[in-house]
Amino acid sequence: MTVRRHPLRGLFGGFLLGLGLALVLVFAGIPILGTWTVIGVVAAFTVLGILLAYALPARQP
Amino acid sequence: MRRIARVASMMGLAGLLSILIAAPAAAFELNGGCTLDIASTDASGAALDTSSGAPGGGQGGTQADPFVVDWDGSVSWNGSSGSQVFMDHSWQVSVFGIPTPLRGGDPNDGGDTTAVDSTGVSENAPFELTGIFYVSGDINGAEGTHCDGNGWFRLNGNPLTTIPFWVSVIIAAIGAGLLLGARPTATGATASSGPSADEPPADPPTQVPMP
Repeated sequence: MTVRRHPLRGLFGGFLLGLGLALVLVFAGIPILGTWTVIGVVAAFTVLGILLAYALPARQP
Repeated sequence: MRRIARVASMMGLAGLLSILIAAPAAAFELNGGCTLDIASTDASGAALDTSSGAPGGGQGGTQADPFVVDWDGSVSWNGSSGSQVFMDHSWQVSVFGIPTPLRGGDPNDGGDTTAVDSTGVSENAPFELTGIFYVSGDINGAEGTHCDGNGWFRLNGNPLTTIPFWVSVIIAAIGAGLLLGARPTATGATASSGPSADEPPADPPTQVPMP
């Protein structure tokens, strides 16, 4: 049994999710991280995506 | 590959923490000797808000008290470069620290040191926007002349009726879908392991009928 990991999907998924959420926050007028709202949220979700690609338990085929 | 990704993840976390800790104070700040007074009106032409920039933070234009703009209104400004004359200058604008295509320059052959003008808000964007934005910018001219500034402004309106808001929701949904697909998968093969799996699986073997 081997585990196949998908770090690139995690990277791009996290980046897009962070970008979308950051823009939603800006357009909704909720800059939760002040001047770093966009860069901070995008960076956080990108890193989170990579980490999840490694840390989540494997699903069975 | 796995080690590189782990190191990149740790560096990303460290970078994120450092920029959050070092986040600058938000104020309508102008540095370099320049001054700027701005005013906005609503759709009917009535005065809506005013703000002025100054070294160390001016009046309004902060995150708590952003400069309010109406999509159907206008913005006027009265700026001065003080004792500096920006010959052959270039300028650029960033939003939330990200450089934008808003940039330009001018030889300023006349040696102007003031700018007074106004513009309609909706005339300068292809679609309606709402929200709160942190804007910064700088201008550099010949002989080392320089000014920079930053401040917050709010575009009034309902985000649910704007295209950019829903495009952002779609981007987030695509990202969430990709993230769900990033979950590791267990396979029966034992020949290889590791993070090389962002590639489609091989076609299953085809069954050839016996003659």
